Amino acid sequence: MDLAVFLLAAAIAYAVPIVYAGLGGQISLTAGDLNIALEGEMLAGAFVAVLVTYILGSPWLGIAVAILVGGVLGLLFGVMIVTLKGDVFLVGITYNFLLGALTVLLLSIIFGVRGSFSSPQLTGIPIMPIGPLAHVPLLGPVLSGQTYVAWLVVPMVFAWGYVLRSTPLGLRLRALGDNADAVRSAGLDVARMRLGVQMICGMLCGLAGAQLALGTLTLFSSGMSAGRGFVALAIVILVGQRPWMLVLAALLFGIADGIGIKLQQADVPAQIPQMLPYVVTLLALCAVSARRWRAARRDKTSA
Amino acid sequence: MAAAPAPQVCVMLRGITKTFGPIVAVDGVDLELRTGEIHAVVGENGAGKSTLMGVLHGLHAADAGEIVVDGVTRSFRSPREAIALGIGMVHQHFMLAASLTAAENIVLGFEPGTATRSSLSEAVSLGRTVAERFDLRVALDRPVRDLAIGAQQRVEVLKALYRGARILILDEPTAVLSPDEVESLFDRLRILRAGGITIVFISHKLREVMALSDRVTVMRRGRTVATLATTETTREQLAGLMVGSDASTNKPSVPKGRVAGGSPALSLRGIATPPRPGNAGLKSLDLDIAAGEIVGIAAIEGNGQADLLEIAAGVQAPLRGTVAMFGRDVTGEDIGRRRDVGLAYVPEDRHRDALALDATALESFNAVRRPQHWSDWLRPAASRSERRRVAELMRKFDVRPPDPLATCRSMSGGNQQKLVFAREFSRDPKVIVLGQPTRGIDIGASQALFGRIWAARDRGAGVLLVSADLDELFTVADRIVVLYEGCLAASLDPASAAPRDAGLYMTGARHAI
Repeated sequence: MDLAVFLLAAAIAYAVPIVYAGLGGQISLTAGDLNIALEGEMLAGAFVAVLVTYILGSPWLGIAVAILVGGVLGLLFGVMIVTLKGDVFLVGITYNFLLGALTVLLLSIIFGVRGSFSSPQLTGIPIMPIGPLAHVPLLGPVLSGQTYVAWLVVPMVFAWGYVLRSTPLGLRLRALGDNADAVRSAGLDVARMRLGVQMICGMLCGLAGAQLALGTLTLFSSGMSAGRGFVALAIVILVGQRPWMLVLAALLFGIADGIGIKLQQADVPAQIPQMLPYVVTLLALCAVSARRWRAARRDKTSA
Repeated sequence: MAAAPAPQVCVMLRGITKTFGPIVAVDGVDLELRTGEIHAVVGENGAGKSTLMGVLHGLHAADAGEIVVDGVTRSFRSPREAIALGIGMVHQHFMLAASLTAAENIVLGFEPGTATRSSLSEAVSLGRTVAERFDLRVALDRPVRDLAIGAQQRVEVLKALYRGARILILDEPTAVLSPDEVESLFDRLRILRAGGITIVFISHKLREVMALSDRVTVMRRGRTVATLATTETTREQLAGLMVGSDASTNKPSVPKGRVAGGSPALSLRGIATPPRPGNAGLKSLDLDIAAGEIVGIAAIEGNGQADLLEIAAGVQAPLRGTVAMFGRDVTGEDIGRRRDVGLAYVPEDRHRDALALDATALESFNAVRRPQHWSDWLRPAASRSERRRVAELMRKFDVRPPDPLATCRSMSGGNQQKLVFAREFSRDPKVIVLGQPTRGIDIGASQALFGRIWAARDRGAGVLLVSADLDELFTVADRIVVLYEGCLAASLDPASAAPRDAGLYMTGARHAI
C-alpha cells in the first residue's frame, strides 16, 4: 500500500511537467512542426519561475512570467523556422544548448552560485486542498499532495481534446499538419498559424518548467529538466494526436521513475535505476516502430 | 439547357497580361464567360492556360488588364477574395488533407459557427445538403485518403460549391481519371450547368472538349487565338489552332509493326500478384510481346495494369510466375540487371519513380547507369565529354532547355518526360515498358514521343504500353489487350476495333477470353 502510494505520487510528480511540455509538443506536431526544443524551453521556464518568485516573493507571479517568457521564446522559435525558414531541427538543437548554457550563466551572474540555487525565501506552488477526498484510501494520500498547477492538467487536457476534435480551430490545425497547401488554398494564413502554435507551445513549456522548479521541489539546478523535454517529445511521437494517451504514457514513465528511486534505496548502483525511464522510452519506441513497420510491410505485400 | 436569347456575361477579362521575370506567360488576353455555360480553354503546355486561370481566381495579380465580374471591375489579391465573388478553383493536384474526412475538408477555412464553438457536426450536414443538391455523392464521414481519385475530385468540387462558387474552374480534371470516372464527371458537370453554375474546363484532350463544352477558347503562346461555339468547330480545326498549323489529330498512317519470329521480346507466364483494396492484382496472367510489336494495355485504374508495369520492369517481384526477355528467364533479376540486357522503363509516376527533381539532367542520365567495371566508380560523372553527350541527346529529343546542368524541377512536365525518353531510348532498348507516357503532356510533345516509340519498334523492340487514354492506345499500339480484374479480358486489333469495344471489356460488360 505504501509502495503503491509512493509510486503513484512519484508518477504524478514526474508526469505533470511532461504532460504540459507534451501538450505543447502535441499541438506543434498536429500543426506539422516537430519541435525538439521542448527541453530547452522548459528549462528556461524553470529558471525564470525561480528567479521571479525569489525576487517578488510570489510563486503565482513566477508562473505568470515563466509562461510569458516561454511564449516569447516560442514565438522567436516560430520566427526562425517560419519567417526565416530555418531548419526546425537545427534551430531546436541550438535552442536546447543555448538555453541550457544561458541558465547556467545567469545562475552564476544573478545568484553567484554554480550548480543549483535554493533559498528559504523561495516559496513553492501551494498545494490544493481536496477536502474529504483526502481520507479515501490510496487515492487520498496520492492526491492530497498535489499543487494547483498539477490539478490544472485535467481541465487543460479536456480542453485541448475538445478543441482538437470538435472545433474549427482544431480542424485547421489538423489540416495544417496534413497538407499546408490545402489550408493555404482555403485562404488562411499558414505562417501566422504556425507562429501562434509555437507561441502556445512555448507558453506550455514555460508552465512545465515552473511546475518542475516550484512544484515538487523548490529550487533551480542547472540542467534540472534532465531529459524530460525529450521524454515528452518521444511520447508525442508515440501517441500522435491523442491527448489522454499522452497523460497515460507520462504516468507510465513516472511509475518507472518511481521504481528507479525505490531501487536506488535498495542499494542498486544509482545509474541503473536512473536509466529506467529512458529504457522504457526506448522499449516503447521499439514497440511502436515495430508495429508501424509491420503495418507498412502488410500494405506493401498486399499492395 | 434552353439557350437564352441574350446570353448573360458573368465574367469578362480584358487585356490581361502577366509576366514572370522575363517570361510573358499571358499577353493581352480577353476572355468572356457566360452564365451557365461550360467554357473549355484549350492550348498546349505553356500556352498560358494555367496562368490565366491563376489570375482569374486570385492566385496571381495581373500586371495589366481588368477583370469585370457581373459588370463591376474588380481586382483580387488572394483566392479568398475571388471566392468571395463566387469564383472557385479545382486544382489538378488536389488540395486536400488526406487524414481528414471529406466533410472536414469541405468546410475547412469556412466552418460554420465561430472559431471556438463546436460546429463540425453541423458541417457534415451542410456538406450533405450541397452534395445532394448537385448529385455529388461521396462518403462524407470517411477520411479522404480512403476515397478513390474520382471521389476525391468530387470533394474538391463540393469544396468550391460549399464556399459559394458560381463560376467553377477545373484545371485538367480528367488527367487523373479513368474513362468511366470521366463520364461520370461529365454527367455531374452537366447537372451543375443546369443548376446555373458556369464552368471553365481546362484541357488539351479535344475529344472531351467536343463532348462537353458549349464554347471553346484556344490559347497559343500566351494569347487567345479564337473563341468558338463547340457545335461550329471540329477537332481538326481546334488542333490546328492550338499548334498553329493545320496539323490534324487524325490517326497518322504509320506502318504497323512487323512481328519478327523467334522468342518473344517479353514473355510473362502465369504471373500473379497479391490483390489489395482498390486494386485487383494479377491472376495468373500470360502475355507475349513479340520483337517489333507494340502491345497496348487498356484497363480501368486498379485492374492490375500498375502491377503489370512493375513486374515487367522488375520493380516488383511476382507472387508466382515467370518473366522472360528474348527467351532468357529474368524473373529473379532486378531492374538494373534487366537494363543491362536491353530494358527501358518509363514509370507511371514521373516525379516519384523516374526523376529526382532536384538532380540535374546529367545526373538523371547517370543515375541509371550501372558500373560494369570497378574503374567506372571513379570516372568523373560530369566530365566535359559526358556533358556534351547528354546535351546532344537532349537536343535530339528536343528537351528544352538542352542544358545538362539544369535541374529537373526547373523543367515543364513535357520536357521532364522528354528527358526520361532521351535517357531510356538512347540505350537502344530491346524491351520497352511504358506507363502513361503522355499523361499531362501536350499534343505536339506527345506526337514526338509516339514517333520515338514507333522508331524503336521498327528497330525490333517489343513495347508494353499502359495508358488511360484509349485514343492514344488505338493510335500507337499494334495490338490492344484489355485487363479486367487482373485477367486478360480481350485482345483487339486497333485497325478493326473501336475504343467503344475496348470500353465494353474494360467495364466487364463483355468477356472474350
